Amino acid sequence: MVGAFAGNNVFTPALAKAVAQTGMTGKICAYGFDLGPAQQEALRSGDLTGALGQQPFLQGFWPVMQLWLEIDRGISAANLDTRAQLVTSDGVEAIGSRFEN
Amino acid sequence: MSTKRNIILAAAFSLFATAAFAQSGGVDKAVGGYSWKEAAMENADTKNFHSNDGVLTFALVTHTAGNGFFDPVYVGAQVAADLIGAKVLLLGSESPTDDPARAIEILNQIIQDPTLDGLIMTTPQVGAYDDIVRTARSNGIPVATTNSFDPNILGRNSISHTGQDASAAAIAGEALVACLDDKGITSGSIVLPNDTAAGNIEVNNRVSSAYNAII
Repeated sequence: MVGAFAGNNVFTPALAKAVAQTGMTGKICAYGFDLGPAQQEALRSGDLTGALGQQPFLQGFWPVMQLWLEIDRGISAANLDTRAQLVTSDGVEAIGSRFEN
Repeated sequence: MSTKRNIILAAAFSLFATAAFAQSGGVDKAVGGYSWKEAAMENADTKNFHSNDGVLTFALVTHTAGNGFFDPVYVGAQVAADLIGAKVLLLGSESPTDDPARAIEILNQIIQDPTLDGLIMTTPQVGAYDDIVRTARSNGIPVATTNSFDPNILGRNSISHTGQDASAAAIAGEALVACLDDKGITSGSIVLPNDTAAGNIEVNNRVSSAYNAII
């Protein structure tokens, strides 16, 4: 096995543990979701190669602006796909430094 | 910087600004004849919307305020509120684990607040928010959803949603392939574990999305 992808923040720490327990740290390309403490630790140790944040800052910022636009300008409901922030061991120390995660 | 140097710099910038011929492509006003500045002004009635109290008050309610995951969501809402001069009430279940029932209690209370002008909520429990939407609507309060998505919520098409689409998983798929390239790995197996018993559509979509990016 050379790669693994965990589909949510529940599977991701489990994947990181499995990588550590099977001695595959740094040998396999392992990716998962969200940037919580478990994921950050796994990025530092190399159990995870990368993790995808869901840009929670936008999930607070945009709805406020959207409602204001609806009220002030009659703009109709428009969705925002917050896409993802990919973080690897290089970027793990900067996570949350501007309260964005 | 000396004052003389400041004056010379200021004069130079001012000359540049008045030499309009030097910069092409500027759009001075609308084809409709109005100025951008005037068109961009907030409507005089907006701050008195609904509660008529001179300030827009929005509430943001999440289902887990106790574990820090939603902290950036609250920060984002505060940043936006500060930018537009609105007030935002930051509310949520105190629990460090998902607690939609508590969030619904909070929602039922906040929609009775006469100063409320807009409501933003997470909707982790599909189907549980229709009455809240109904009440908000009858009170003339606009609603937006964020983070978790309820595809069938009452009035879905008139309620904006902000959240991560499952297709973002393709970003991880691409990164995974790049990682294998970097390691010079050209064959082997890639595992995309998924517990289909959980039946989580978003997770299934993410796995499909990553898989499609990988192959």
